[in-house]
Amino acid sequence: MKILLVEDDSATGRHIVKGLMSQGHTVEWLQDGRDAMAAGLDRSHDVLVVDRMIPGLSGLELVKSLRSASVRVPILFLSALSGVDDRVEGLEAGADDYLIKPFAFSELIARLDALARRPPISNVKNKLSVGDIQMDLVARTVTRSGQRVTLLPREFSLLEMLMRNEGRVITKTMFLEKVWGFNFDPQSSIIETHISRLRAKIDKPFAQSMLHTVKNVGYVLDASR
Amino acid sequence: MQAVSPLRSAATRLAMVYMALFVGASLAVNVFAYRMVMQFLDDRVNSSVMERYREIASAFEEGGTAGAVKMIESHGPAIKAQETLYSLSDPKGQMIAGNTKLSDVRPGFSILQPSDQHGSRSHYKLFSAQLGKDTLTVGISYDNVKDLATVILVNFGFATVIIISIGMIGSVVLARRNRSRLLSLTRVAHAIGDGELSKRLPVSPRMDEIDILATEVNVAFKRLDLSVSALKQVSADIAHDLRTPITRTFLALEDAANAVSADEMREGIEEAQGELRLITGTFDALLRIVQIEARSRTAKFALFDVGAIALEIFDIYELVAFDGHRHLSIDADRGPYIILGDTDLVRQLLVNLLENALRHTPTGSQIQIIITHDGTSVSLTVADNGPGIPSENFGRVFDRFYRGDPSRTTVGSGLGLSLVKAIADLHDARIELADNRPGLIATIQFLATSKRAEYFGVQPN
Repeated sequence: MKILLVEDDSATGRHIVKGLMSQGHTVEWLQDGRDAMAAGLDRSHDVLVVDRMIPGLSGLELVKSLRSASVRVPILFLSALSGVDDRVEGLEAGADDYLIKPFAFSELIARLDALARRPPISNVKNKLSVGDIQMDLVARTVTRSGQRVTLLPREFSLLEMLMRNEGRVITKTMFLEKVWGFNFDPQSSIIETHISRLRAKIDKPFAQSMLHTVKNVGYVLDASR
Repeated sequence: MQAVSPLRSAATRLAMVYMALFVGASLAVNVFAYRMVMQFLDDRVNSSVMERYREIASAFEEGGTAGAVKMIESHGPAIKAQETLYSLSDPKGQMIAGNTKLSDVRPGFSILQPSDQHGSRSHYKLFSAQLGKDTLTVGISYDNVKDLATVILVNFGFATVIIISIGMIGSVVLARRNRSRLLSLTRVAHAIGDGELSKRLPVSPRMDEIDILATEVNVAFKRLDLSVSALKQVSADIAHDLRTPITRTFLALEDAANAVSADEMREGIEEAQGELRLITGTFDALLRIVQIEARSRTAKFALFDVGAIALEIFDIYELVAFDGHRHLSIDADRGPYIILGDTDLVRQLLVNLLENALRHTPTGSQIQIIITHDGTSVSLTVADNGPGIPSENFGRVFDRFYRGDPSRTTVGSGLGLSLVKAIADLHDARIELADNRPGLIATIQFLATSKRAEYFGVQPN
């Protein structure tokens, strides 16, 4: 995909550009807010990665201006501002996601993937299916190979998130934010615990395992592995 | 520091204005008094002239012109001394009796100037009227009155000079006192501005407006002092507490650089990454604490059920505790437990208390979440039956970077409970630690909704 990166720190910028390009993406890298505004108005990018503290125009102003100009491209804030309200402020300005520096590159990739391939909001589905797993979002039931699997509400939410992002890695912090509503990182391994329960119900009784651990990054649901 | 010149001083200006008003008022009073005295003296002279006149007039009524002449002559000493003038003249203007020839005097009272006579430099008050066909004029020396008036005027002049002098001295003294007071305030304020934050403005026991202002400013300085020392403490803590993980990172990277195999190198790098994650986590927690402490109180407050939050978190942690071979239970059946607060922060508060209990208890321990409420408060309690904390350390566990284990080798930043305290303080909630014999009981007591709503001026919906 074509990514617009707005980052004024050369070392960080170079690193991100190199990483994204090695993943096969095209990257346009700008260091000034005003230049980024002009580039963003082209609407030629699939996703924007914006640092909050950039010269010319602050990241917050840039995103607000782009949104008020009806630019609907997914935007991810990449910021060292990690305060209680900074995140909320960023999302309220119109960004779709907020990643705090320092970050693991795998985390950035996972989030960009989730953002860029996010289905349009109008495309609401009542049923999800990955491999032989079927999920009914209305009846809130799950079957695998036709067999009913009983899940607790939170296990259901975990699986729903994995199914919606089939084949893409979901990181622990993404789970924490989206499923638990935690905007902080608890020390305990709560994700590992709940994933292992889910795995015991959805994978263990069946021949093929679909819920895979990506070491040091997160989890992925993939029927083809 | 800028010194104000005495002339530009507000105190001097004020004193000058007051003095001008004072001198004006004293002049007005003096003029009024002078006029009153003069009027009074004039009346007295008039009545004594009239008295002399009537004496002669009654002699005339009894003995005619001869009687009047006799009466005039009987005033011998007065005639000689010329303190009193008499002049009885016939219609042709010839003096019949008296000591001074006075003609063309108009009837009634008048004043005789020295220039109108020969050989006398005195002023006289005259009264002139007809006695039959003749004209009688009586006069009394006016010089006493004139002298008295001069004395009075001189006196008034002196009085005014004295008033002005006293006023001047007073205003200079007042201005100087005010100036020196303000100067000492300015000096202290300047010292504080230069970083001597422990200094305070002087406050006198009079508690006048300057003292009240100084007291208020002192309160502000005290807060500033506290937050600056807190900041210094944090900086020192960071410098000290991050040194250890930074050293470990350094060593791990050194190992990686000197590694003989790719695996060994990867191991070193991964270890360094883990340490860096710890450092970042510490920074985040610190930043969060500072931001919560600095937060405006009601910014994101809403009414919510602590019981629901606790159940949700219990739901998440029950299995975590189970996997760690501890037993977690919850007692929150008599809800709702409505408080006014920030949901996200209260969620984190409970998570931190739980994480703390999970981390500092041995396997097999029981951990309980208990929520209770009475009319005035909602209490959120996390109790465990682990080793607990010695009660003499209760006061210190909320300090930043405090850890029961002095070697600091256990996991965690030592900031979890500081964050709990910051969140509790933001909610005006009371934290209480108690001994569970064995174990620790941590209770956070929130004010009940109605009380809190009252306190924050928010209407419960």
